Amino acid sequence: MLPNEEILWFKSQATELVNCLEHVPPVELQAVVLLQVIHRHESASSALPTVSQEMLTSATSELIAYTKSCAALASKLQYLTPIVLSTVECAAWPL
Amino acid sequence: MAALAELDAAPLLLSRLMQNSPTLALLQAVAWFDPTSLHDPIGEAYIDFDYDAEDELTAGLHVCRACFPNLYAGANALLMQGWSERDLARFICEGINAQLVTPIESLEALRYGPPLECYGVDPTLLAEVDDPEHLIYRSRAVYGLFGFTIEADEMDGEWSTAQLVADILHHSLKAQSASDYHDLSALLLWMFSASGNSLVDWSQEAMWESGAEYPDWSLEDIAFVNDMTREAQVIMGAAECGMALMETDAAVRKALQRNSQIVNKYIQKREKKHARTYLTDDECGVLAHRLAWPERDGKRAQCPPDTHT
Repeated sequence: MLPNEEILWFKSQATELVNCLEHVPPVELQAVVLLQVIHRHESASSALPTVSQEMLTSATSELIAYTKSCAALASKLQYLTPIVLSTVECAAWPL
Repeated sequence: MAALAELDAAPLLLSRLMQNSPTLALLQAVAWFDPTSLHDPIGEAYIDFDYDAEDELTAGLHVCRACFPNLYAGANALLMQGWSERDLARFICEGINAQLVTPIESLEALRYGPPLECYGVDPTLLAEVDDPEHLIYRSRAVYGLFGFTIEADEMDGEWSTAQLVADILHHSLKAQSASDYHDLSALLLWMFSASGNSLVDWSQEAMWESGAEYPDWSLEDIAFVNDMTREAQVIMGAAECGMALMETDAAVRKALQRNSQIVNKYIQKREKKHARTYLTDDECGVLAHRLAWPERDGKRAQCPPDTHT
């Protein structure tokens, strides 16, 4: 593969990944849905109204678990192995 | 006036606009339902939460978030309703205590992990405790039957030999069918730190100085501490009954003294012959078999099996 071809191939892969991620629907979290319901029916200035303790606990637990899994994923992404472009040569490093 | 009305409606409008963006909607949900996580965006607090660097309320919310989501959700709702920090701290403290066998006194105690209440006795405590009703004070008389004398801040006597004597007595007592003798056995286990339950065997000071790794605020550790505490309370309850038996029944008291002397003599004889203080399991079993106890509750005293386990 020629150097330009390799770069173009990686670009197309990256675009495909971005497209793919853009089409992933947002996670439907109970907490977000609950807030939408609250905002639809009541004034935003009031504090968490007429929500049962069970519902509140369930929404909170799900949100905490989601936050934890996101943090774990972000941590994993930090340690991804870099991909070496084998055919691309840098003639000189700019200062 | 119109401007004021618009200003009043602004938060609602802003909230609705935020709902149109998934990212902003998520942020708003976090702000309402999990505000504690906003202080810790990379999740480091899960690994190493610094209790000394945080105020009591933050520590309380951290513990609730990690272990008691229902309490955390309730506390956040009250926070949004504008509860004072003091009332909120009390709410969290009471909520956490509902999950513990040994309660915490305040949120300040959270830094030490789930509370460990030690019942153990040591020579210093024996000399210090001056409440005649206290089990430690009352135990002095029983130590006396083993040949110990309690001085100002030390106990004079052969502790390791007495431990061995108590072990053999325990072996003999647990083979008795009368439950009173099981209580007496629990009393000896506590007195000679031999129950196998750290809360029973260690004094609070010994626990602090042991260098043992303390339990953390996790569901597993809380369950472990609760189980250990329940077991310790059962042993201590039995030890209290055993002490009452010793104080009220002269025949049992005499039997304990006589039996401890029999075992003690045997050990001394053994030491002279073999220059060693330990006994084999078989020797312990045979020795325990020789000991006799008064009949109680119409149940005849029994001899334990020969094998010392």
